[in-house]
Amino acid sequence: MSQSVLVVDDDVQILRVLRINLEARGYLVTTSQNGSDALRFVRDNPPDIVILDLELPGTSGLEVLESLRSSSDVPVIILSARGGDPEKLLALDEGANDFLAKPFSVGDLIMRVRAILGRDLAELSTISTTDFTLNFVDSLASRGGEHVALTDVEWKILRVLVRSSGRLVTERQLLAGVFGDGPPEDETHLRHHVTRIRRKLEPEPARPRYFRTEPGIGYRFYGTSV
Amino acid sequence: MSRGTLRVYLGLAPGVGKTFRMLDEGWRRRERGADVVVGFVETHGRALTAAQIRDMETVARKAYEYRGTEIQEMDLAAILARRPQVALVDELAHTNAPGAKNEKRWQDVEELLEAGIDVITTVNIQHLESVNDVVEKITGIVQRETVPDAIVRKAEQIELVDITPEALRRRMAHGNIYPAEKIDASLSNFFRSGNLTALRELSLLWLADRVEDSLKKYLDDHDIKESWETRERLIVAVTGTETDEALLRRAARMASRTGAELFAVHVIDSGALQKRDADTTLARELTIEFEGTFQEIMDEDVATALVSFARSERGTQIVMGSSRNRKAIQRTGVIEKVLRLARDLDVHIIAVGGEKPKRIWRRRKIGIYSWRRQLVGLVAAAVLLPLVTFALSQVRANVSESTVFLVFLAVVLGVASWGGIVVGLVAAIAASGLENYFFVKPLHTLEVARPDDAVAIVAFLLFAIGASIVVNLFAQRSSEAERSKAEAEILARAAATVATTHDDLVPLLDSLRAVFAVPTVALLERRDGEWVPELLSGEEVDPALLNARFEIDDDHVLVMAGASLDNQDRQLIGAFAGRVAASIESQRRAHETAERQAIAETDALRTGLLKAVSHDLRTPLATIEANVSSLLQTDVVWTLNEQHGFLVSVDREVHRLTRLVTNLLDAGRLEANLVTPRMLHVALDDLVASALETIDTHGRVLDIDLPDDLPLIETDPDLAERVIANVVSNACRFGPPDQPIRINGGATGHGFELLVIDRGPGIPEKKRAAIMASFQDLNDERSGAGLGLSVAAGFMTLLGGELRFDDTPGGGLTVALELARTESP
Repeated sequence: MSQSVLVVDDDVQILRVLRINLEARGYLVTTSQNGSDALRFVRDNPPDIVILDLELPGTSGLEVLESLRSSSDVPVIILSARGGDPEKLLALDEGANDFLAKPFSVGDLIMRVRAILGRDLAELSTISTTDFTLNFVDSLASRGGEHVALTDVEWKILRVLVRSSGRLVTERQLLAGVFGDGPPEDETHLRHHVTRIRRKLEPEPARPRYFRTEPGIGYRFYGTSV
Repeated sequence: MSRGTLRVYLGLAPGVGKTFRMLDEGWRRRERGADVVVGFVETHGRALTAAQIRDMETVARKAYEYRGTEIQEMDLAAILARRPQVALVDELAHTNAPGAKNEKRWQDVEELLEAGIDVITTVNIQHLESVNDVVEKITGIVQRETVPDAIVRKAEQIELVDITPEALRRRMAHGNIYPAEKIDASLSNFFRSGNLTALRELSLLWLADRVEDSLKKYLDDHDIKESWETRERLIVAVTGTETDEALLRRAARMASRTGAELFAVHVIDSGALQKRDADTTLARELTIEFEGTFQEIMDEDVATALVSFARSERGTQIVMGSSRNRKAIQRTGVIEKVLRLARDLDVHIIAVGGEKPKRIWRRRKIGIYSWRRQLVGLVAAAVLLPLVTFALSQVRANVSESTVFLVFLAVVLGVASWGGIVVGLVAAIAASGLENYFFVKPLHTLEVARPDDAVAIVAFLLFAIGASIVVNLFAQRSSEAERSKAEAEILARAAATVATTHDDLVPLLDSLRAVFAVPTVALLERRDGEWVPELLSGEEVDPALLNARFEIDDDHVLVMAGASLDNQDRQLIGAFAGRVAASIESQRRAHETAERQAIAETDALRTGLLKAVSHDLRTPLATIEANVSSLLQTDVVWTLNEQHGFLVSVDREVHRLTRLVTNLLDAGRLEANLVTPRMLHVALDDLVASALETIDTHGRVLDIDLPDDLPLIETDPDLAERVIANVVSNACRFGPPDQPIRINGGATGHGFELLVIDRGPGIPEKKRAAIMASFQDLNDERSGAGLGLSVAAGFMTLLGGELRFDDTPGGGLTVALELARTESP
């Protein structure tokens, strides 16, 4: 059965082009131009994923997200024409799974939809990219045939990021996944570890291809370079 | 058979409810048992009116054919045959179709009345013959259908169906008067509230049979929309004296502040005993300079004449001068009387006495003896004493020595009181010498024979000196009293003056100048380290001569020229300076507050604009990016059709973006005053056609109705095209998809008008001003809506025209673009 996507945006042009693209990839697409219609639709036919514009006439995108989250944990990707981070952060705090700033490339959106809808890798075994191989079973890493030594914390970070391949992992999620409920570690610490991972695995650590940062928000692992 | 009675419902405009009232009256009579029929009622498709007919008997209309169309008219013969008691006949001014018995409906009505049938009818004020040309002047619409006034005047009853212009406009906006399709440029122009106010007043005047009196005024009043109801009229009472200039200048300032019209009037007192040498030449010239009207009227009662003149000119304020010179004192009675008579008018009394400081000076400062006065006293003593000596010596035989002493004493006291104590002393010594020499034996020597004569001379000397001192003292006291009275007055005036502008300080400087009798009093302000005169009373003098300085604050000083001031004076001026300081401070604070507010408003506007613009720019960009990136996808093979669809979408958004960027740049250019219109003569329909080529109608149907015979208009074609394109785009964006956008054009009384009529949500009254001012409301959900319109409004102003928002009858926005008529080449 094909998966269903609900796209909520007040711009008909955007709705049209997203529908064509998503349908071309085999998704069932429903569109809605305002928040209240969208909420009604979600209640009646829960979709597999919602793509939600933050700027809607009437009920704002944030309000839609809030009431969505009160009853459902359907994944939500936020679209926002507002450049500023506060809205993005608010949306992520409200439980959005990912976001894209307008204008966006359709490729990016499709990738994010796929990442979210693709199942979690329940038990990570081995992952290979053109530049490195990670064997999670034996905790062995190699780059260009050479063995790479990684610390325990680095392995933990890699586990969380690779398991959510393509998806945004917020700093808070990452901290929780790595350090559990222990004493809170700060983001600076985290950044430190990620930098070291990049130095060990990325071909160009200053311009990371695999371990991307969403500044101020979190990190994202791309298994294949984009 | 007696003639029927006529009852007329007079309305100021279509839609006031005449027909409804006529039907109402018909029902009332029918309920009282009268036999009432509807002769002819025009419902104009108004549901309420149609419902009001109910089941009243209606005489069938008669059809006439004219140029292939059928016209239905009242069937006069049928009504006459039916012979009801009362016939209801709408629209008295109607012109019948060719072929009917009478040319005009009022002639039909006459026949009905002749036949003994009572008629109830309706007519609008603009259809009355006598006011026809006035109405045309007011509204710019030629009325072809008219009724002779006499016909209506003959009516037993005329009832004015009155309604406020606002209520009528509301009714119009709700579509209760005409359906939207029927509204064209001239009709919308007709229903402007300025016009309606004028028509309403005209109706009332006509009813009171006073049109003739006011006709001239109506004709003068071309600029109705501005001046009809709100303009203040300032009546200035000039006296033909030198105080007129100050008075008129003050009045002109008041007038320009409130945008009032200025009327100067001089009332010649025909009852005055002696003819005053009034010279009104200056007042006349000044009035003309201030673009006011000057009039001279003659009456024995100045106050009554003034007030009734003010009333007849519809004045709202009377300005009179009050000064301390003698002529003005005579007028104080006039001022009081005017105040009493002009209960409903504002009366301003303005102090104008400062123009003649020397006169006041002389009256005030009696006790302080100038060198000149002392000299005059000495000369008087030198003349009077020999004269008295000579006169007394001629009659020496008949006068006693004591009489001689008393006469001399009188002279000494006289000159002492004029010239002061020094003069008194000199005169007393001289007088005692003269007495001794000429009148005390032995004569013609300074010796004294008898001891009691010596005592008398010494006593005289002492007495004269003592009396001089007393007289001097008395004069000084009274001078001081005068002076403190004057000071108290100045302080009181200063305290009463809430100086909101620098102008208000000028009279205070004037009075200071008058009291201290100096040529110049000035307020200096330090700007960039230099002291420059901010306000000046009196002549301009070399700053070096301004010898008395009073600090007000760090940047202001009060200076006086040629003043010799004692301590008391300094105290007084010090208090005055404090007052000035307070007023400057409050002005500065008000100024700062206003500035801060302006900055805050600009900031809010900027933020709002930035928000709206960034949204508006990102939206098309997002669509373009989404479409282009779709085309670039490699995992999907698009069909040609799909590819075309993406490209069409990109193309459309690029146009949208271009339009927005153009508007933004134009808004910037407008704000920076960088747009200069290049005026050419063009045809309105060409402008509309080329403007429509550039816009995206969003699939809306455009219903364009422009007359073919419009003369060319003088305008900048590029700007005018942008205006039309912006307005029509806006209408297309917000009008419902299934409703056409109507574009009507036509000549109006003042020029041309193009109406763009949509059925969208409209723009609420309070947002309209924001759009006109600059850009748009900050929290407008349909962001970007205002930018195009505000640019259009800005361009219209540059083109010498006006962009006006109106409600579309039945809902929606009507934008009226108005261009003034210019002479075609």
